[in-house]
Amino acid sequence: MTDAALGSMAAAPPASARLIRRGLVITVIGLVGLGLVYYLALVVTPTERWQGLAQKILYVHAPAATTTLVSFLLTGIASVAYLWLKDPRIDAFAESSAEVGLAFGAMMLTTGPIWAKPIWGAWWQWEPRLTLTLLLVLLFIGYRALRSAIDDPEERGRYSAVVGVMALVLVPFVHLSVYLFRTIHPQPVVLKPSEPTLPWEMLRTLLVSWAVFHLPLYIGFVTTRYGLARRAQEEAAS
Amino acid sequence: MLEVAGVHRRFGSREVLGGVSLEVPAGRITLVVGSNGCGKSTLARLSVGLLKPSKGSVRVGGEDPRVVGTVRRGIGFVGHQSLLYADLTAEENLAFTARLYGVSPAAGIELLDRLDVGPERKVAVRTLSRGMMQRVALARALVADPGLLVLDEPLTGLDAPSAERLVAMVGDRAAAGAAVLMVSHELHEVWRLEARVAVLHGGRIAHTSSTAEPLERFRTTYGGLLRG
Amino acid sequence: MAELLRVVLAIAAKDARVELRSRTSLLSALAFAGLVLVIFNFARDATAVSAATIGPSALWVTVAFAGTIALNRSFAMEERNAAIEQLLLAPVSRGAIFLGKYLGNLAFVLVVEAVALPLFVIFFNLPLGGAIGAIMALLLLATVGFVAVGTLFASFSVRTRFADLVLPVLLLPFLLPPVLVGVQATGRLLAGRPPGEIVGWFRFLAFYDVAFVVTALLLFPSVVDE
Repeated sequence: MTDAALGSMAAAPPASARLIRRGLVITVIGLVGLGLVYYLALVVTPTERWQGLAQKILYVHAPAATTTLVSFLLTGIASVAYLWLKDPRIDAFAESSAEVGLAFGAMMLTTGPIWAKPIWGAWWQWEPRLTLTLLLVLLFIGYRALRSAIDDPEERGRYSAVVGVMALVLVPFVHLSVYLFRTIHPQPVVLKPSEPTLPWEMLRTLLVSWAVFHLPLYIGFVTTRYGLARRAQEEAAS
Repeated sequence: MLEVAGVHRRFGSREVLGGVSLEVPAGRITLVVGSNGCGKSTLARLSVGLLKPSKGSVRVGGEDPRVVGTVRRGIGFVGHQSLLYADLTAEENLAFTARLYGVSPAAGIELLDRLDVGPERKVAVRTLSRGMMQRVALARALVADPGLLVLDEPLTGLDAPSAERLVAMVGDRAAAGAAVLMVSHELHEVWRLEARVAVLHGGRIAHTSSTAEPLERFRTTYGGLLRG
Repeated sequence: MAELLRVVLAIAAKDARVELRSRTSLLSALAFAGLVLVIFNFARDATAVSAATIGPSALWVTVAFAGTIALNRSFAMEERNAAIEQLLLAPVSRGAIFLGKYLGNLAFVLVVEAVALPLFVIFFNLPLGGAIGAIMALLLLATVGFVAVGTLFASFSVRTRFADLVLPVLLLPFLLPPVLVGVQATGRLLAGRPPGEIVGWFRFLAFYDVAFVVTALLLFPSVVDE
């Protein structure tokens, strides 16, 4: 190989390297946004009268929870698409979104009990929304375990997509069955038919946090992870 | 009988077959040879509908065996593995296969006579010797009297007399009018058959010949091909 | 239709024959069911927790775990000698193969339940009375759905490393709805409530069954088609 050819290869890195770099840039933007959220939550937004400082965890907990659910939902949808199109890129996305969902799920499941201990008086309650999200996190840990137990990339894609689709079907049933118990989880404070009940300063902080979690943080994480998955596929192909 | 046209097959992002075309006519034997990992088994499994081509088409009697179930009725397959239920006897295995193909279980068991499976037919197949197991596997493949017989490395692990026997039986099937596709690397054993030979290399048919060519001369060409 | 039924029954009968040949997994599952009931009995403080309180949980946990034993075995026999390829090569539909395997598994789990239920009644000394029919109906409805999910998952979990771990981890989340409903409903029935009160829960289980039998049937070809 000539020096010129080597030079041109260095100049044009594989697609995965560009994806990873782009993902990291977006992640940095997300982390700056997270800093802003902390600033807004701790300095600008007034402290809630009844719950005190513990309430501030809401600004991280609620966005982490919805991002977890959206991540898993996108994995489920990608699973349907993968079984249809059998495109390895879709499988890489499903894998990435599931893993990022687990990261946000860990955030949700650690912040929740920290808030619950002073407010509910217990780290954990078998309450519908908690049960559902915990079950989903466990299911996707299983999804992740399944993926690591299969060597053949095609089998891995098919089998995990089957689990992804089944998870989509499972959610409404778990939702229904756990609601057989009474709920003590705080009701949604933004999306409901009447006026949001949260005061504007708090709502603003929450909305900023939601935007930061769902857009730069999620997209940054998933793009980076997707780039890594693509790099693994490129290496397997060469 | 079997037409493989421009077939590509990738596993994940690794391409194993890159445009294979092959015709296997009725009443003839077509041998596919090649080094380990060249895609011989993939080709055999594609031919019977166990694998789906990434690109290109596989037709048996003009139809896609993956789509048209009745086409699969006319295909017999002997794989690396026996495809038999280890805990059932040869008789029970054949009776079950016969039921799947909608033929009478008695006809399935009769095949065991034709292939000289004696009292061993009453014991669980997991206890059978490799040679006997392979005979039962062949009986299984022939249960619905298929017009296309595909054999994937059928001679692996067989002693010389068993291999010779199996080769002779395959020759009989072709003489009776079946199309036969056999994948093998035991050149010496299969060279006694009258067959067309296709060399699979680099994911394509790199060379064709026939067993009319002296084996030594073929080996020279073949070796040259593999060294590239 | 008659053709489909013939193939489905042939596959299920083949599974039963393999099972009766060794009896290992059936006996293991039965012993397992008995052991779970015994352990549950000693795991409770008899003075604080009444048998009627813990009884339904014990029954449903037994059913859940005994079921997973059955499912792994079902596809382990297909994996050996690549026997499942014989089914895929045959002129039968993927749906018929799934239904055959499903029926075989369903029979296995129902046999285990048929033994576990009397043990449950004896060990926990529960007056079932008029509730027996309703409890059996609950068991049947819950089993129909979760065995469908289990059959689908077992069809690929056997092809992974750590098959024995992968299957329960994937399957248990799907057991939550039927077990939750089953425990609640059994509890009510044992408390002497009329079956009419839990009609909604029967309906829930029926929906669950339909949804998962259909989804599993539709997804099975994606598992076996390479």
